[in-house]
Amino acid sequence: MDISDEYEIVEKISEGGEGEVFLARYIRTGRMFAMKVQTGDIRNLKNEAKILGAINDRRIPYLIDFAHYEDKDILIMEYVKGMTLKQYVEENKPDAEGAFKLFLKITELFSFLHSGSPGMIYRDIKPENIMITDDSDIKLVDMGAAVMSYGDAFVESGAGSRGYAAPECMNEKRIDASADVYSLGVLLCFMLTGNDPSKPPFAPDVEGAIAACTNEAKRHMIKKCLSTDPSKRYSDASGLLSALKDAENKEYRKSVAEIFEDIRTFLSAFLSVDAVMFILEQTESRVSLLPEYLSVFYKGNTGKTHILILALLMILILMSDAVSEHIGERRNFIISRDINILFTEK
Amino acid sequence: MFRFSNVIYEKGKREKNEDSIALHKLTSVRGDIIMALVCDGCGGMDEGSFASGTVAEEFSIWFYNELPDILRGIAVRKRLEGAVNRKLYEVHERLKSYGMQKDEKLGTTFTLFIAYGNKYICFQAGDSTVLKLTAKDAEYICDIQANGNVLTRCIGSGRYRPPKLSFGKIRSDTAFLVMSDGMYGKIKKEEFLKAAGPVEPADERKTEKRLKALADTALKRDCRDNMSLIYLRF
Repeated sequence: MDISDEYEIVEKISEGGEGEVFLARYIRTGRMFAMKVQTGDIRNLKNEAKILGAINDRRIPYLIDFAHYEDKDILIMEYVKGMTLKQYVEENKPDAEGAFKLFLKITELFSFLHSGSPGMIYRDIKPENIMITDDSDIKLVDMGAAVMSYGDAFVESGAGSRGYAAPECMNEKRIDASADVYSLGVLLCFMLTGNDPSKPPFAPDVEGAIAACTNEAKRHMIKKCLSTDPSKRYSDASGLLSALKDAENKEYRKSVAEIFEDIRTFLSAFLSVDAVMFILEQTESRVSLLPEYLSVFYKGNTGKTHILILALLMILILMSDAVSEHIGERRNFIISRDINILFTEK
Repeated sequence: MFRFSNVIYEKGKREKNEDSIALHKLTSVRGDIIMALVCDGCGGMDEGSFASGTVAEEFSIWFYNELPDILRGIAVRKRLEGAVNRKLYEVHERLKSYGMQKDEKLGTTFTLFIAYGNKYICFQAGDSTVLKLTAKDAEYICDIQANGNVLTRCIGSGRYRPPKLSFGKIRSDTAFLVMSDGMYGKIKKEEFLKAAGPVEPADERKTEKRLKALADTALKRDCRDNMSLIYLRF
């Protein structure tokens, strides 16, 4: 294919280790695509093409073509409109709740990638590689450093960005999905504090992130992600996702439980006072200061209605625990993703 | 209850594999959720794989995005039937429209097997099928919808006709094979039972070897079609 006949370069979008990325218009249809032109190691661009072709998910740009032009390899893929996560955090400064909501989406994506068969270890998680699209979805770009593996991966060289990469990524030849978990922990610290670990002293602002957390489960989760010993982290993003949902659920359950607790306290108090008044009236004890309206509720035909209401209130109190439990179950319905196979020659 | 799975995905003597398969599993608080899907594309080389691949991709996304919500509610079977039909109709119309634009006829068979907890439900359109194996018996749980070589139900071509439905309970020591006609066309169900019947002890590697041997046997018997099979052992 002669690229110059098919595509027209509009502008340069970015430049990285493996290549330059351009916005290109497909002349026949006018549609826009991203075009990555190899400048670095050719194997990385081929690897990226292979990975893009192997993964079918709306959160990964789809591969259009892999071509050769003027002694260079060119990767043509979906153009992702939106802003990088870095831009998003710097411009919008999300609060802790917003940051965790967004981080949940990001972790779900990596949980999907890690649990594939083979799984994918991304190795270059940083906010510049995560796009927030115009319809508030997330997309992961730049698969140049990714490796596909059924477990551990043996790699020929280190990869990753300083400040975000796990310690073992820069030095060792053997890595696993826990390397991505470390980077996700650093990413969360950036999202919570706005402090960029890719600048000196090249370390995440852990204290700031922990201070922004609203419960102990979240604090523990961040510390576990950032452990320098890979065996002490979550083994992959699925483990992190479960912990994150659990931590969020504790938050949610706390608020729901608090509401039910308040309702239950109020109802219990009302029930107690009401029952006492009812008994007093039945035994014909006279309390001279009883407000007049009480006699309406305790005498005659309304007495039966009153007993019914009391019974219903008691049932409601008992049900409050069950409802709270059910809400918790709905939040935690999925425990893990185990098999993810799609074979097609489409 | 779910023990293991095996997959065969071979193009056989054809130049391209027009089959597409998807196997996904989640663990939920109410048990395992498994989806096995086999689609056998028709309409020529690229069109066949495009049709089957589109259906497989769309249902893979549907499995993660929509199925859990259906399964944690009530009236699961009814809602599942509605949801699958809606999704399949949407994909059918898309494929039809694509075929009209390109002035090509394309389509695919559709065999979807969903296991949730101790129940299964199966949707079938075309001539791919599901074989249920117990310790002593092998039984096709889906009727093949074909008249000789002509499909009487096909997704992406002609009028939309909802897939046929079958459902039941999953008992322990049961296995299911979801497969395209390339496999069952040359291998009898008794042979499947002998090779992959749910006998103890359950051995994933041995079963995989035996299933691959069956695929080789099909080739030796002059199978000229793609061969796709998903084996689920409970």
